Parts: sequence; structure tokens; C-alpha cells
Amino acid sequence: MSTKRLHFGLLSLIVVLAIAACVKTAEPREIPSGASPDPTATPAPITLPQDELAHDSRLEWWYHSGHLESESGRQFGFHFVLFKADDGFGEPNYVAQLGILDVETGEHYDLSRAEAGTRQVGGGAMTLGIADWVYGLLPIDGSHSFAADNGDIGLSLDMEATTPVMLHNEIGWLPTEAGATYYYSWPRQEAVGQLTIDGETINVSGTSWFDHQWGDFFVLGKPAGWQWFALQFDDGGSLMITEARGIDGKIADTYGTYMSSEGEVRALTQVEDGIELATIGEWTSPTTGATYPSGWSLAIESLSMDLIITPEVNDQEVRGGLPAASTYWEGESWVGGRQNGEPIAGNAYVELSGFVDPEPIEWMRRR
Amino acid sequence: MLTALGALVVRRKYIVLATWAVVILAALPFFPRADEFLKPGGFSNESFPSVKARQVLQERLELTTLTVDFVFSHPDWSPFDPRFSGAVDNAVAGLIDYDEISYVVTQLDDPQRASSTSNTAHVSAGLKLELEESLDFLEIVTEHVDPGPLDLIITGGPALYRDISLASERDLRRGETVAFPIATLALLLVFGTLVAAILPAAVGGGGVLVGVAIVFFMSQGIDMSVFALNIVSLLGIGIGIDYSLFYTSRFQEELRKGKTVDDAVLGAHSHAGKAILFSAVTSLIGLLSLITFDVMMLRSVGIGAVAVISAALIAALTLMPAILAVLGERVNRFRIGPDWSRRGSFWEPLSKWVMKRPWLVLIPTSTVLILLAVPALSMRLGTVDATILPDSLESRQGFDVLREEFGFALQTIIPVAYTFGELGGDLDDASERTNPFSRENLDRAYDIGRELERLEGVSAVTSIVNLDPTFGPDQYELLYTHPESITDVAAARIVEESVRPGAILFLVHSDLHPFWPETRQLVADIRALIPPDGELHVSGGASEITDIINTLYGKFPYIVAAVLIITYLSLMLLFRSVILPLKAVALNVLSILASYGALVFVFQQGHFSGVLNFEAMGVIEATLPILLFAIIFGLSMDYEIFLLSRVAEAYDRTGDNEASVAEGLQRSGLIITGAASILIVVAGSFVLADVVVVKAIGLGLAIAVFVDVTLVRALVAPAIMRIAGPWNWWLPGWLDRILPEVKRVD
Repeated sequence: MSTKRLHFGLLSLIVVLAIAACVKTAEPREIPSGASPDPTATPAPITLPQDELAHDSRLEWWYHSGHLESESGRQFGFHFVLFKADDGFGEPNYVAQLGILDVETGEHYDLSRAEAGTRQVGGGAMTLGIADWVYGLLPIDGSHSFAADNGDIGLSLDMEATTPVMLHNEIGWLPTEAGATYYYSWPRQEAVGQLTIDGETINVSGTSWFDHQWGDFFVLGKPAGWQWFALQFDDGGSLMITEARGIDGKIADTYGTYMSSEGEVRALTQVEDGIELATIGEWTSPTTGATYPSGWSLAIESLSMDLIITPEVNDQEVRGGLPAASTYWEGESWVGGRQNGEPIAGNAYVELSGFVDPEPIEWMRRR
Repeated sequence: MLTALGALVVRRKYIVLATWAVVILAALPFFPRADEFLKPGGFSNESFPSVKARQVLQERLELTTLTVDFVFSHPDWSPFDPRFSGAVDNAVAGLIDYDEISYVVTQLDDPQRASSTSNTAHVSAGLKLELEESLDFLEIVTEHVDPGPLDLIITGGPALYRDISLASERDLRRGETVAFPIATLALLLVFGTLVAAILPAAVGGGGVLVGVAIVFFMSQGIDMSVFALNIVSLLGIGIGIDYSLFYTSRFQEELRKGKTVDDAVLGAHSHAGKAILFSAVTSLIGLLSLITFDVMMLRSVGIGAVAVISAALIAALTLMPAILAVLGERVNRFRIGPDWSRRGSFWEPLSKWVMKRPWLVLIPTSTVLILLAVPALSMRLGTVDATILPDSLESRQGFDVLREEFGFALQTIIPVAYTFGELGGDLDDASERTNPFSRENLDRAYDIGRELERLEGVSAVTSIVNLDPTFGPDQYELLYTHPESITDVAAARIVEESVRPGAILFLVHSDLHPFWPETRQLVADIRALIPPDGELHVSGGASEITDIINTLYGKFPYIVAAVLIITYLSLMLLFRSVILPLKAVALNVLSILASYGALVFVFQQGHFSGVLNFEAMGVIEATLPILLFAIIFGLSMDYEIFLLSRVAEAYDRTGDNEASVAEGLQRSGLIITGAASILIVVAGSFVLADVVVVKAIGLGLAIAVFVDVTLVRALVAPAIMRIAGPWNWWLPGWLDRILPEVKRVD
């Protein structure tokens, strides 16, 4: 090897090193205008029990509400909900809420817990830990359980469906102005468990309603929102009615699903079925200052139904664990009226969303 | 002139000594205060696009990137257990009332800040302060936050800043503690007498003292990095001892010739003094190149090194002759080691052995050197994070928890601010043009967001218009009719934090590591995007790294070329040869490349990380190759000049190439070996450093010097000189006529 060649080799090496250190520059280019979103996927048929479990979606919730009675005949209303929201990076955040109404005293309790990430805590198909609470699903249609308490107040229930599944909007899928959602219910579940009030634990049993929704959609607060009614008639029939308000605060849609005592399911729309929902009272929350409807008349022409729905107690507002815009009213109620001229009555659970003024965004408040 | 200076020093030796005594005494009080005004880091520059983008983020989007990070944990309680969250609430209660804090975010505000697998929560307090101002406030925060039943580790920018400063200072003290005694021991071995051995250490130490004092004063006027102190210490001790060693040994040699003390000093001054002067000038050329960089860390290391080399040079040319003139024969007092001058060294037979079979030596040794350099080809440049700190420090432990539990520093997030419209004055501007939720601005932002999603290496984009891939501008317009009504926690946070009048923030997420070159390519790709209206500002760590590396390595090849050419020309002037300087420059480059290879092998690829107690970063800190180039080039040029000056002296006398190479090696070999051993010890002692960058500089330097003095100087250099034969001393006539005359021997 000649020395010159050696020198050349060495100098080349250092030049190569220096060049390798630099990243090639990219050519400037204008961002094209008119980008379009990914197409919305065609809805897949709901398959149970697989679809009872968690989905890879922006938002999902499992919701139980119902009516319980102790061995001594003491009445309680409850609702338990587990929200799952994508954190924007494909990881879920969970918030669980429990509301209990002591019908005798009119006292309403609400508790909440949060969890980041899916934490499987048991051997069930989906047994999640939400802090110190547990929510479980078995690979059996309509079979759920939860255990939630904070020491003085708590409820643990096992629930089994006693009716067929209720798919809403016929196929269990609803497009909305802020995305689409899958939605089905088990309108009647037999519930057995233990309830703790003021540190005293008692055995309870009763009937609950189950909702499951998931999809890439957004829930918007006031002026958007909804009124939702889950009615369980004494004759074995069940009815879900939703009145949804759009972002302009106007009623965007009123729809529902009726399941007869024989288990026949029928989708209801305002136009075709003549749904008439009207508020007959109001209640203002001393905590949030929000004014909620309180008492409703509901008429469904196609079902020949004229109903009055009355809250058991006014103050059943749920505030824990979610932003102010998500504060809602979830209440044990009762329903009475006539169907085909015959008296009809039953238990009801009502949800009122989008009635609380959201907290202004900090930087916008300064403007 | 040099001789005149020597004569003056000899004549006024007591005045010179007294002056030095005053200077050293004056410098002494500043030595322990050296780091008072030094700053950690210093890898960035305010003119970088990334730094400007950071300012845009702060001004237009109110984003503060400096945080105090609290890592709360409990052995049993999950972060959402009311007992855990209650304790966190108590601990951080009242923090938001400090004017210095802009926000406090806990696991309840952002559930992703909780890890139930390790029962850990990450809480951050955003600071409105600059990094330098945050240290005192960190103390206040640390006292304020009482974790109660929880365990607490505090990390984040200010804590890391504090610990890097402390660890660097500790490294320096430790290095000095280890290096000085061992260097003195090595000097004893070289000289064999106590007085001669103490001299270089004393003169070298004096140079360091003065150099550090200069750094202390300069750092009050110029921003200087704390790393400067490490380099001043390392280089000052090494070079100071080199010069003194070379000078003292020449003085002893002159005495042995039977000269008077004054004549021996003058003789040493004219021979060794000139070699030292040329060597220092060459080192200064290399190190001055650092001052041309717009990066504070390199610039301040350059300034520090120039200060310490100048101090060492002046000490060698004034203090040393003055001391020797006073000491005279007493320099050889208190013999406690062998007298190498009477034993003859192995260098002469070695050089003769090499020159008998030059090709047989050159080919395998060159191959070994090239093999050593090969790993350098896979060098990946990056920058430092908290992993340069030892894991015994709290801030590093906190960083590790955040990395393991929350993916900190493993994935890249590139903040990109889209600004549009002129703001009337402040963020209260509410014109339609600057309304981020207007349809026009949403349309433009949507186009940008989708384009960012399509770039190679992007795993996700978060912004107000990247909430859902199936959403288009129509849906976003609907959604932001009442943005405060969004109930989705993640989306609500994005609206709260990443949008202001005239500005929309995109966070570009990538699974690429922030240090990888591919990430820098992604930054370049984003910067190449031209928005339909307004501007894009690319911020974040990856963006700053891109700027640092582009700045450093845009200039580096030119600086390398300039240093090589200037060195070549100055050596050509000194030795009046075309080939010898070429050989010198090439061999120095080879030593540097070998040290680059070793750096990659050890610090990038992680070999010996257990023994050396560090965590492989997968990259080489971007300033290291440049630092090492500057330092090693200067140092190995010292040895080359020491060697060639003796060879040239013999060649001038005898005209015999082979004999003069042998003689040069024999006369300078011991000194070079001694000086190199001392430097290897000094630099090697920095392997004990806690800060990985300091450790890498030490090891890189030690390896380069070791390779230089063994393979390069002992084997390759004589082999090439033998092969080149008379060509070693060839200088074309026309060049001889135009080159100014610098006498090799006075």
C-alpha cells in the first residue's frame, strides 16, 4: 500500500463520517388542500356474547340501572356505569360511577373511581379493576357483575338477563351528528347482591336495565344532550325512549325501542310512531344550578300509550369523576298511564344529559 | 526571540518566580469557585429554528416546557385509590398559588399519568421560570411538597440541571484526586529523582490553576458550560506536564553534556522551548476551531482549553526555566528510581527492528488501526438525556421511573405550532382571522394534520383536528361550535392546551427514538412542509438535536480541512519537508479515528458498560467527536513534534535518514512514553466520572493517546519514514525559496 493511498483512504473515512452525520434535507413542498377523512366503516352485525366485551373505540360504556328491594322490603334505586374513553393514543381511561337512592329517606349517594389502562383483575371474560372497584362480564349473554364501595356506601350485584337482547334502531347501530354508536340493551336483568348504607350491609334483589354503547363518537354537553327513559312495565314489556338535542340545542331526533312481554322488539321513530314527549315540571340543582326537567308526559301513537313519568326524588344528580360538562341527572322514577285504554304502570330510570353549563375553557374565559 | 526570552528569564529568574508566585496566589482563591458562573448543558443556541419555535410555543400557545416532576408511589395503593389521590392532593395543594407555577397536573387530571402496575403517579408543575432561575425555586417546592404516606422522587429539568452541575464538579474533584498522585508517580518513574518529578507536576498544576481562574473570570461575561471545567482540568494537567517533562528532560540532557546551568537552560529553551511553542500553536489551532461553533458547550470548552494551554505554554517558557535556573544541578537530587539516560531505551532497537522490515510492520499495524476505526463508520450521533447521570442520583431515578412506567424519552413527540394571522397584541385577540375554530382555519389545520399523519415515521398526531380519522372539517366545525361542551376528557384537554387565537398545536408522535437519525429525518420532513397560510414552527428535543447536529456537522468537515491544512503548513515550515507533515497529519487522523471507533464500540454499542458503570445510549453525544478531534489532534501533534524535532535535529547533523529516525526515537521515546502514560492516567481517571459524557471524553482520549504512542508512534511512524527514505526531507526548490526560514536548531 502506498502512503498516498493510505492518506487518501484515511481522509475519505473522515469525510464519510462527517457526511453520515448529516441528515439529508427534504425538498420544501406545499401542503395540498382539501384533505378528506377516512370513510366511516359499514356497521358490523352485533354478535353476542363477544360484543359484550370492550371494543377498540373512542368511547364505550356499560350501564346498569335498576330497582332493588331488601329482605325487609326497603326500596332502593341504583345505577352503575363504567365509561371507557380512548386517551387519544389507543389507550383506555376508565371512570366508574355508582349512584344509590334510598327511596325511604330520599337520600341520594354518588361515588366514582377512575383507572388508566385496562387492568384485568379476575378470571372472567372481562373482569376489570377500576381503582378498588371491580366490574365483570361473563362470556354468557347478559351476565354481569360489579362491586363498588367506599366503606360506608357500596353495592355489589350479580345480574342475569331474563329477556332477549334489545338492539336499537333494528341493527343496534345509530349514526349521530358527532359520530356513530353501536347500542343494545338487556332491558331486564335479575339482580342479586349486597348493598351497604351507612356502614350497614344488607341483602338486596330486584330488576335492572343494561345498556351497552360503543363507537367513534363524541358526547357533547350543553346545549347538546339528551333525555333517556328506560321503562319496565309490570306486564313484562320494556321501552327505551331517547330525545337527542343537537349542538344547536334543538331536538335532533326522538326514537325508541319497545320489547313486548313476549320478547318481540320494535324500533320506534318520532315520525312513524308518533312519539310525543313533553316536560311537566322542573327542578333546579342547588349544587350546580342546572335546571332539569322533572316529570314527563310520553305518548306513543303506534303503541296506543299515554304515560306519565315521575321522579322518585328530585335530587339524583351525578357529579363525581367527570368534567362539569358531563354532569347529568340519573334517577329512579316510576311510570303510570294507559295502553290501549288499559292501565299500565312500572319502574323507570331516567337520564338527563346536557343541562349543566360547562366550565369555560380557561384561555377563552380570559378573552 | 525564543532564545532572547530564555536569556531574559535566566537573568531575571527571581523576578519571574516572584511574578508567578503572585499570579498563582491571586488565582488560588478562584479555584474552588470555578463553577460559580458556569452553566450545565449549553448544547443549544438561540438562533436555532427549534429554539425560536420553542419561544413561539411559549408566547403563542402558553406552553411551558420546564417542569418539576413528582413521582409518587405506594407499595399497595393504586394511584386512583382515594387514599393515594387524597395524599397527592394534600402534597401539591397550594403549589398553584406560587407565581412561578403556571399549572399543576395530576393523575386525576390526566389518567395516563397513573400506572396501576407499579402504583405510581406522575405529577407535574409547569414553571414560568428559565432553567437557570429555577434552582432556588426547586428548593422551595421540595420543602412545600409533603408526600405523607406516599414515596416521592423529584425529577424534571431543574433537578436534572442541579444534579448535572453537582456530578460534573464531583467528577472534576475525583479526577484531580486520582490523577495528580498517579501522575507524580509516573513522573518519578520517568525522571528517577524526586525534584525533577515534582517540577512538571508543580508547573502543570500552576498552569491549571491559572487556566481555571481565567475560566472563572470569563464565565462572568460569557456563557460558558460546566463541561469547560472538566476539559480545562484534563487538558491542563496533561499538556502542562507534557511541556514541563519535555523541557526538564532536555535541561538534564544539556547538563549531562557538561554545560553550565544557565547554558543548559538556554539550550533546553532553544530546543525544547521551540518544540513546545510549535506544539502549543498546533494544539491551539485545533482548539480555536471550537470557538467558531455557535454552540455554547463547544465554544466554552474551546475558550477554556485555549486559556489553559496558553497558561501551560507561558508557564513552560517562563516559570520552568526560572525554576531550573535556580535549581541547577539540584534537579537531580533525591534519586529514588532508575536513571534511564544511562540504561539506554528500547526505542532505539525497536526503531531499528521496524526499519529493517517496514512493510511487514506497516501493513499489519495499519490494518489493526483501520480495524479499530471501523466501528466509527456505524457512528450514530445524538444528544444526552438524564441517562448521562449515575442512577444513584434522585433526579435520574425519577427519570428512570418515568421512562419505564410512562414511556418518557423512549418515544418522540415533536410539537409543531401552526401560527396564522397577526395578533393585535396579545392572546386576547379575538378577530375572525385568528379564531382557531373558524371554518377557514379549521380547514387549513385539517390539511396540515392529515399531511403530518402521512409522513414516514409518524405513529399518531394529536391536535384539535386529529381527534378521529373519520372526522372531517364538517364534523370539527360542528364540534367546535361550543368547544367547552366537549365531554371527552382527552379531547377537552387538547382544546384547553393546544389552541389559542392565531395558533394551533400539533403533537407529532413517533415510535422512533428521539436520538435516532431517522427522527432527525422526520424533523426535516416536517420542516419542509409549507402550510397554505401562516407558518409551521417545529419544536421539541428531536428538533433541537437536529439543529445541533446540522450546525456542528455542517461546519465540521471544513474545520477538519482547515485544521489539517494549517497544521500541515506549519509543520512544513518547521521541518522544511513535504512528506513528513503529510505523514504527521495522516497518522494523527488515524489515532483520532481509532478513538472514534472505540467510543462507538463502548458508549454507543454498550460493550464494557458493566465494568465502566454506565448505560449505553445507542448514540454518541454529538459534540464528542468534535471535542476529541480538537483535543487529540493537539495532543498527538505534541508527540509528533517532539519526535520529529529530535529526528530533524539528528538529520541536520548527520544527513542519515535511518540513523536520525533511530536517534530521534531514542531521544524522545522515553519522554513521549512518559508524557503519554501520564495523560492516559489523567484521562483514564475520568472513566471514574459519574457523568457519562465526561467518562467518554476521558476514555476516548486515553485510547487515542495509547494507540498513538504504541502503534502509531512506535511502529507506523518509523516504518513510513524508512519507506519514504530521502523523500522524508524533500522540499521542491521553488517552495524552499518562498517558505520563510525557521531554523530547526538554534
